[in-house]
Amino acid sequence: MQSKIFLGTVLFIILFVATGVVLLNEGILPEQQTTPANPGTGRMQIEQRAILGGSKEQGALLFLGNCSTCHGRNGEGVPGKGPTLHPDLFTKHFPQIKSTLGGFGGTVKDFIRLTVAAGRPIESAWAIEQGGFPQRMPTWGKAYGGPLTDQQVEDIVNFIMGWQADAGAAQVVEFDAAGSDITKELPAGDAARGEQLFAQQVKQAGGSNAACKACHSLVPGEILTGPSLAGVATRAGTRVAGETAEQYIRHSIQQPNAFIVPDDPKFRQPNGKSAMPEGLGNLMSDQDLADLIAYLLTLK
Amino acid sequence: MTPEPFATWRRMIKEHGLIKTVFLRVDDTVTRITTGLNINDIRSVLRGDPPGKPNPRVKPHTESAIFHIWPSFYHEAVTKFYPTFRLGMLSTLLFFVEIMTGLFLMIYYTPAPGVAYDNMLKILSNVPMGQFIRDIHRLAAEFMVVAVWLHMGRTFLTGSYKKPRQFTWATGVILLIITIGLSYTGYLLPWDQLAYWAVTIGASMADAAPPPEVGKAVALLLKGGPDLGAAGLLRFYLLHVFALPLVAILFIFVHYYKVVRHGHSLPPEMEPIGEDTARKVSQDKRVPFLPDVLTNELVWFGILMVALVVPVALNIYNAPLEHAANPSSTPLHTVAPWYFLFIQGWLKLGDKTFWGVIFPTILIGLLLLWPYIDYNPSRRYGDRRIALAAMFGVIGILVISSYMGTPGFAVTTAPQIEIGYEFMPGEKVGPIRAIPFDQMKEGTWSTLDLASIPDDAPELRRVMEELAAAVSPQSVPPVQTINGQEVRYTNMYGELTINIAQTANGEPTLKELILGIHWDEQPTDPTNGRPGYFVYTYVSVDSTYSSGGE
Amino acid sequence: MADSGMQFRNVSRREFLNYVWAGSLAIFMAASGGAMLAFAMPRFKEGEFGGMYTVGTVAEKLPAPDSTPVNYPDLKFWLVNIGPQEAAKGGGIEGLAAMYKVCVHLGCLYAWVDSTVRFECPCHGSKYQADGTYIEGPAPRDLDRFRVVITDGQGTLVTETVVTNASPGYGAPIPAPTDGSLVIKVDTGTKIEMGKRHYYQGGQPT
Repeated sequence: MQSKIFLGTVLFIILFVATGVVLLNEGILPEQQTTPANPGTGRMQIEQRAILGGSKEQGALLFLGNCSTCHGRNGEGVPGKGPTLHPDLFTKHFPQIKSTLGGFGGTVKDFIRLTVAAGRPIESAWAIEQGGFPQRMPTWGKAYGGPLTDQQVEDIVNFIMGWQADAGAAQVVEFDAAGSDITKELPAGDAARGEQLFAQQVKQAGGSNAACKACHSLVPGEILTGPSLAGVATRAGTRVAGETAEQYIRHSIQQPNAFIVPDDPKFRQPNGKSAMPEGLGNLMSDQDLADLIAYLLTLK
Repeated sequence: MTPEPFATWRRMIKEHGLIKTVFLRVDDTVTRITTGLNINDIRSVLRGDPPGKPNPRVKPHTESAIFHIWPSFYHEAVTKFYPTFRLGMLSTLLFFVEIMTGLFLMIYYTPAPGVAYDNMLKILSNVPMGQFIRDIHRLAAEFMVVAVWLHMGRTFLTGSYKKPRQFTWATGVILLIITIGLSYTGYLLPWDQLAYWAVTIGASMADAAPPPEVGKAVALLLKGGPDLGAAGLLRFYLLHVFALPLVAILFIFVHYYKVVRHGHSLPPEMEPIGEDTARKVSQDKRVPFLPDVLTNELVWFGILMVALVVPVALNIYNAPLEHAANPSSTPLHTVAPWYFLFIQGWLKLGDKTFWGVIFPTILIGLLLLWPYIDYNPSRRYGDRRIALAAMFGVIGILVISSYMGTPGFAVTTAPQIEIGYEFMPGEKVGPIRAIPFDQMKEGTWSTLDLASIPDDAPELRRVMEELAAAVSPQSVPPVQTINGQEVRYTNMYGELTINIAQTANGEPTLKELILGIHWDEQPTDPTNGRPGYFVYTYVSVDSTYSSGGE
Repeated sequence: MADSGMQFRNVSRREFLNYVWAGSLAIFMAASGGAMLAFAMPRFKEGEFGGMYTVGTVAEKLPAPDSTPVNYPDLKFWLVNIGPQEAAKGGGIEGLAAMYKVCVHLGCLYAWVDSTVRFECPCHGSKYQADGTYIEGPAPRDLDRFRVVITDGQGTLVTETVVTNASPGYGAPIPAPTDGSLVIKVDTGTKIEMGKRHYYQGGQPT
């Protein structure tokens, strides 16, 4: 009998110790709290960070599946389709919004959440400045008629906010852009490298991927936003009188508004400009341009 | 004659002095609370002295509400570990633990689809002892299902269901069903993918009950609508926290009353065949509840609490939580909770109406009526070979059916999808995400070139070796017949591409991991237009997958 | 000797009134039960997520024959154009159909698997051809489908899926329209249940 009493006592002491250990690790002690200097060390603080991390992971997957076609695989933006989501956008653009739009009352995160959930039904002045995005940002949040739940929208917002952590680390790459001068002499083009540029296996001199395939399919007859490039080498010489295939292709890349293919009304924006963005030449070097032209000339 | 003057404080102090008055008052209060034991009686209980005559320790049992539930003495033979293994007491204690932990969880939980999952995240990350209480609630629930099954098995084994205890057995079967119902309704409440789809399947089984109108009506009552949504969650919540516990308490009351009324059944070998002598306990065989049996029960309570608290405190047991419920997407290999695997196994055999509704109903009916069917008056093991063989037969069937219910059995899809699921499941962690963050080295690693994996990434190497084994010809037969056609999986190899997706202050915070499975006749993956089969995932620096988190 | 039930006593007025009162209580309990059931049974429109949904014009939205089924997640159907290959594997009829995404076994959402070119349910392994014909698994019948309606630009009906149970071609795919200006609509309020499985055996439905 006495051994039972002793055993009972030992058991309850074990319970006390176990519960006490858990309690001390939870994160209610002052030294475990999260401060600007130190992330919290208690179990609750670790769990909070893990939950936010998990939200970013889910957001990254959703971004890959829903957003990357217009905003780029790494959020760098696709000219003519979707702006960059890296800090530059928000550090430059957001203060404008807070002041010009009658004072948007929220934070950058609120603004991102608003845009993801409700979309952008009307083109903003800034977007027009950038050369226009003919396809509007669609509505994603269920509350506004889109397909994603509130949790999913929040995940994407958390993921995009993850890019803002390196704000200020602006990457400036010095290079000679091809620009919009169609008379400049170009070096000899390497069709193999041009193919790699098109497939986004190598980047342009400016550091971004060539955005061609976002709008131009290689499948004959398939129209994404622009005409299919299958057989472009055969067609190109016939489009504009006096331009060879090579000149036509170069002209299209550097000055898209010079000639808009009439086959489909999609290729022209409501404001009369081409759906193909201007300024593509500013992202690539002369060599990039020559390589791309050489590659496109192989597509008969 | 005038009645005695009322004993007020003034009068008592005048008569006895202050200290004695205080003692007498306290003693009186203690006697009222314990309905009959004053301080000296309690002390003699604690000292193990023999009780005086008349025995004051009987009074709490006869006159109070709480102690009335327990008998004032037990037959010595049923106070040992055999024959009861303390399973009935274990079941009741676990029910009590569930109520207490459940009440605390209710403070932070709201049963609405958008909110419920957020509440779970809050309980796990912003409530002190939140994860602890939740884990104990979940662990005790699983223990309770085990305990009630074992208790039923023990009762069958010792033939304690025979006359006059047939009705006790029937209430016990009802309690088994209520326990499973409690477990099932509670399963839905976190509103994650695991919960949502497991319950969708179960509710569809209610749909299958014949006749069709009744089945559809029952399914609608449970789900609150054609799909499982806000109405269903609320109904399951009400069932779980109110209706089923209420019914359980009523049945526990009846069940326990019947046990005490007939006296706890004695070990079979002690009784003459066909007789029940449990009520007639001679004086020398009586073990009083106070203090002996109560001490035993408190020790067992301590053991149970340690068995619950220590695994949770040491992080050996963690209640799972998958991603938030997504009604538009069913994850691969949705499994029932382990105690329902046997039903899931039956469902793979064929028609859901028969295997999901009719067959289990027949079994439950047999179970309920067994004591009335069993005409063998003997409880001794040697005389009941058929009954015992039947019991072990049923146990065997349940085990085999449970194995059949596991995902691996008979539900495999194409090999690359299975491998992708094994290494990078959508919901669980899987081996690849469990690699420590700093060992996820940037680059493309192939099973064809394991030597190129750097030495400071041993976990990465280990996982790639596992992947190599999984795509080897021994695991994936190079030639298979699917859908009537021959499919070739020759020269299969796996690749893991790791990119840095986001950084902060120059340090990577989010890494992208792409599992690619390639073979000679690989198709083009529709998601990225490249040849092969790809699964994508991301891992954050803050995630705790490598230390067992989720 | 006590008055036992062997001797019939006449029912007194009080006894009779008590019985009537008990009867009224029983009627009240029955009515309460009915009221409680009516309270608890949920009200909803059949196929609540749907009425008629306009997919788009034939030119824009008709999938190519034998191509991957098109997913409409919120409306819970797959739009599939059965070409000669898929028809040969399945029920033998070519054309346009809208498969309801919920598996007819126990309610999980089945998925299209490219590598095996068929629908496969992740929960218990039921497998179906592109036109909904049952292949293997515990499902009791072919996939449920929605009524597909083809109208012209003004809304005049051109053709639709047969929904009358006894008629030939019940639930079968409708011939894929060729006129690009016709409009495809899916009626998610009308679900067509196929009566049984068509067993798939080595290429020939039985």
